Amino acid sequence: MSDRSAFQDFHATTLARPLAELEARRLSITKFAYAAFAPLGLMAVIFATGVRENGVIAYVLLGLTALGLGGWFYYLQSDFRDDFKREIVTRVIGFFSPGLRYNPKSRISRTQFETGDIFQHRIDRYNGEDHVTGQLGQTAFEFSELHAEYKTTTRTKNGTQTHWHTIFKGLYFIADFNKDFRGDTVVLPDSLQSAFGFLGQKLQSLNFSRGQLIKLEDPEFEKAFVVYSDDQIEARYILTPALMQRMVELKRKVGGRVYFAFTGSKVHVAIPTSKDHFEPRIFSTLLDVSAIEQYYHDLQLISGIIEDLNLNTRIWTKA
Amino acid sequence: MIILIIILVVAALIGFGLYNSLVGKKNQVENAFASIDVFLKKRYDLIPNLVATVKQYMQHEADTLTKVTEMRARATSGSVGTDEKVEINNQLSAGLGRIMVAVEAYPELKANENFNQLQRTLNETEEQLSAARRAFNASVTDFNNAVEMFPTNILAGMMGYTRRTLLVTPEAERANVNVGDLFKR
Repeated sequence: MSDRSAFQDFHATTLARPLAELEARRLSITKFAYAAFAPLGLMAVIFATGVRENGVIAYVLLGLTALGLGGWFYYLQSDFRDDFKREIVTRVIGFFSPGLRYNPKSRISRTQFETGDIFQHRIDRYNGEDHVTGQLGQTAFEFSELHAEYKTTTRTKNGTQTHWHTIFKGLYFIADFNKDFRGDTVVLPDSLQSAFGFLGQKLQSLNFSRGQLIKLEDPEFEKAFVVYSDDQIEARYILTPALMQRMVELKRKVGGRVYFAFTGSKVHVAIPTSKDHFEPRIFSTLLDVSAIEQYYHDLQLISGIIEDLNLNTRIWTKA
Repeated sequence: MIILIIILVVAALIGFGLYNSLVGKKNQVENAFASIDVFLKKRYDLIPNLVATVKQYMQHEADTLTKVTEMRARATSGSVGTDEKVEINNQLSAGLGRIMVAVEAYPELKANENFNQLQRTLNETEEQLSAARRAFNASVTDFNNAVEMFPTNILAGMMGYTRRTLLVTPEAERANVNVGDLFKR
């Protein structure tokens, strides 16, 4: 049985019933949204065009109603989302590999994120969801969506204003690495060297917040990444020519920036994305198989990193 | 007058900086070379164990085993020069590679827990060794760049620094890489 037809089979036998129930709920929520917000919008237009004597009061009333309805809609929607994740996403993940645990409200711990040391900015707000943990082959792994931010405050005439800036938003993946090592090695997307060549490399070696710059042999890899480590030999022990190829390939597959950290015998992979994974779509039908299949594909793609980096090859002393 | 002094001081500072960076690079090369030795030593330590484990299973490979033991003895005797040492170790790599290929013909050996552990350690050491070689080559490249590029080449000429040669893998050992493929590295 092919991957696809297996999934469709699973969809028909296991997901169809809970999906039908959720679909009914989704429809009632969208109905509520249309029923509530369409007249509200119409009223706003009327108020805006026509001149009224009690204009201010009308606006306040309108605003309060909108706020109340909006709040109610948000509540319905997030409740639906939670149930969808519990009923559907959990099952999809179980189908993908029965050993995996899924916690929609949990995330990779902040300590872990900071240990990776890929992003060095001070963190003021740390959020995340869709935490998956488990083991595939011999490799234990976990991943989740993360959003780390820092804030700046600026003084204005009316007091202070707080701005939030994203440090990292996307998927964060941690897996047990197949070799033992002691030091810290980070592999970052290369911006300087590809833009400025030799001079850029000189600048890279002056990076004080990182370890030593590691110059590697693979020109394609060197163009895509810059490597810092506290141990020249260990960095090369981790980054074999084969692994470098695989990392370039992974970057190509992701189609954007990828960050790696090798620390505490683990590999961290950070992939910035704007997409919110494992979320239901409120305004389109749930009964479309391909929409649900998308979660499966996302899962395949993310846990595929284990194969992409060949982490299940255990020919070294680390079992 | 003051301007002249400033120019001289700045020139001297730049000179010191360049001099120090050259010395640093030269030491880096020596350091990297020494660390290859560390992993070679680690490999020498593994060989007697390996030979003892496989000897009882591999009657047909007795020749290779004896040779590997001999080479190890020569390499650790301390009386060999650098070039000779490199040569012996290349042969040693080839010999170990042959043993690992031959293992495929001995299922009981492959199932042996002790041998498995040895094989893993050997894999690891080979990989560390190759990492150390690559680190050495990287630091030699760095050094050679400094020796040949302006303005450090002027200073390097005065200090008598010349290009170092890279460690090149001999043909026999390149074949050894295919051994890794056998184990699906």
